Amino acid sequence: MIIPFSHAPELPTAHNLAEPHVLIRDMLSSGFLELVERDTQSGAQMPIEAFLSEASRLRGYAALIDTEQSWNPEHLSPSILRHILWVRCRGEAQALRAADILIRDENFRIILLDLRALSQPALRQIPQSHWYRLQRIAQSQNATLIATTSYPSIAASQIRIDVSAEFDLDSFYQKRSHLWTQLQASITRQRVNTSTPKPWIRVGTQTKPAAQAS
Amino acid sequence: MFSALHIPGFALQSRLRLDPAGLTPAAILVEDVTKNSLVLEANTAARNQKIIPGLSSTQAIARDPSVRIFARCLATEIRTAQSLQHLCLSISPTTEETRRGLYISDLRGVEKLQPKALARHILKETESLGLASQTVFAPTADLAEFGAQSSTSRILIIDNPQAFLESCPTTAASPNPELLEVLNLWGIQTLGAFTQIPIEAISERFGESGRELWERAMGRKRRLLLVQPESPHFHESLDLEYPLSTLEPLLFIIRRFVDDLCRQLQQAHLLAASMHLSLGLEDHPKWENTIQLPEAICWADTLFAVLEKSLEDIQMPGAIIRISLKIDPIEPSAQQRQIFETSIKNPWRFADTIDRLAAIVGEDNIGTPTRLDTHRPDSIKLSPLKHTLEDWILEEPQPEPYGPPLKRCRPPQSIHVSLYLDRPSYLKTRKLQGRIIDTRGPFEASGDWWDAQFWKQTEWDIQLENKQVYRISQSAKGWFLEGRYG
Repeated sequence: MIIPFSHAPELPTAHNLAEPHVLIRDMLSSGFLELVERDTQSGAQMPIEAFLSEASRLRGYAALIDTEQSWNPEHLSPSILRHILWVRCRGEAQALRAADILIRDENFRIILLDLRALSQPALRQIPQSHWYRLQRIAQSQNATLIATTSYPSIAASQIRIDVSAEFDLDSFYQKRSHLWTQLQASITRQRVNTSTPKPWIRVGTQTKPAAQAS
Repeated sequence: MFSALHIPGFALQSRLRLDPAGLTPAAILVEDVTKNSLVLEANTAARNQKIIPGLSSTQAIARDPSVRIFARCLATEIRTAQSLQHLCLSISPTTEETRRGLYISDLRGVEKLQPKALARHILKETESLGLASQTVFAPTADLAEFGAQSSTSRILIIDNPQAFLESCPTTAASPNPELLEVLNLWGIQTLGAFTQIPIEAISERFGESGRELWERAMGRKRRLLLVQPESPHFHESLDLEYPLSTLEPLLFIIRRFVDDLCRQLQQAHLLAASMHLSLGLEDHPKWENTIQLPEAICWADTLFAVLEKSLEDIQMPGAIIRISLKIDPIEPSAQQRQIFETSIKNPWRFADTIDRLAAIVGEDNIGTPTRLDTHRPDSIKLSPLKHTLEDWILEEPQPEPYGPPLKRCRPPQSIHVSLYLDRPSYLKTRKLQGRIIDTRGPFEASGDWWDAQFWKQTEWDIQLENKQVYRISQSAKGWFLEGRYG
């Protein structure tokens, strides 16, 4: 199921990411989301910033656990940045411990765990029981945990989205809001509790449930 | 109505409440720990062993070898007296410290308080201070004092003064020795019997002192309470008799300090903004720690938990011989939070989370990103996350950026770049290599030319054969991979 992000006005724009956004908001209701950016691909950076920016719209706080210390916050406005706690760590062990601590803290609405630097074997070495435990805690704390990986590897995630984008040097002449149209996203897993609403994805001009969209 | 709060064996109880060993069966207080020092006070268990004040400490040990001997400590007595005074002042502003361990409060104006409920409250509070107390309620201050001196029950409410005087020994009024001797010779053992004598006869035989005692007992003379103005200092300290080498007894004493200081804060309607803990060490300079609290409070449990946590992983170079805890008070904020204000739900939990994260990744790697006022690339510093955000403040809208976001390499990775017609044509790194199929640049950037931090670099945006777009830069140190777009 490939869903193009074809309607820029409905999607978060880089200059004003704090605006309400249906897709991001619905994804946040999932509790545990896995965002996969394949090793040879790109495209996860814009959704990551959109998720982080959503914290300021929700008037809450977001935490980014940055395993690679690679996040570049230069173009985000101070009004968005001050809602974000940036935790720069080295290696998956530090990152997982930090996630465990942050997810138990009731002050953070969104916790983003960036594990794209980990190879497939390193990701597989993380026990699935660890992810299930984080999922349970996230649900009990009413927080959303978003893990970004380079390979689909988290069985406990309730939604898994593969994102990819092919940018070229002409992309630098386009505004960030237009670049969302070049982003491809495919939902490869969807296990949302019946108690939480199904995520809605905008396709064309109609709004359809994800299941119908396929 | 007057109330009297009495601490029997005040000096000994003051000393025992700071003893980490807890309750002890038999204990005595002496002036100093020498062979010939006399017993000043003895607790009930010691008295049961026939150890009474006036014996020498050697005699006391002979009667009970297990008796614990404590030297008198004026500092602990003063501290306990202050805590008791704060307790009484929280009930009535007119409180007199008649003597150490006896506090009389004028309850006029607070008659709505039920004596029994008030007495239970006082007993509970004194128990929390680690003290056994007696509480007396009486129509006059003198009767309250007599009751405190004579009664052994924990709560005494004197409704019928005459009936009370019938059973109250004359010693409770602390008459002068001459008067007491004559009364004993007459067979007058109680104040009730004393007041049966006509006042004229008392005046004739004993003069002014006898007349005054008679009038005090009869309630005809009502003295004014001597109220001393309270000046809170929010500082507790203790010089230990023996050095401490473990955490548990240290925490016991700190808990007492925190309880006392919180009571002072509550009395003054103030909150703790920060705490300063100082530990004097044997043969080493003192250890000090100032803790800035995430939110001003006066909850003893929370303040103690913060102090306990701060001491958890500390190893002292020497044994502790002095403990000092100071609290910086501030007035409670009268400001109401704005409707568009974002605030941390639980600042205490948040402070704990930050501490734990700092222990894992280091303090320098946590915070809110803040841009520095420079054009130098990747000039970001981490600041502490604010607990309250004023989201209604409108900021100047920023122009929408062009192009995909950059995922940075930190630090920039050294690379080899081949040039063709002064433009990058081939890139090689440890993990990546390939022909460059498209380039944009060069983009010259420089700054801080006026000082030693001068920087200058040329940036290129390039696309490799694998379709990925990168940013590379060239400076005096060579070529670097700045990051990948996307």
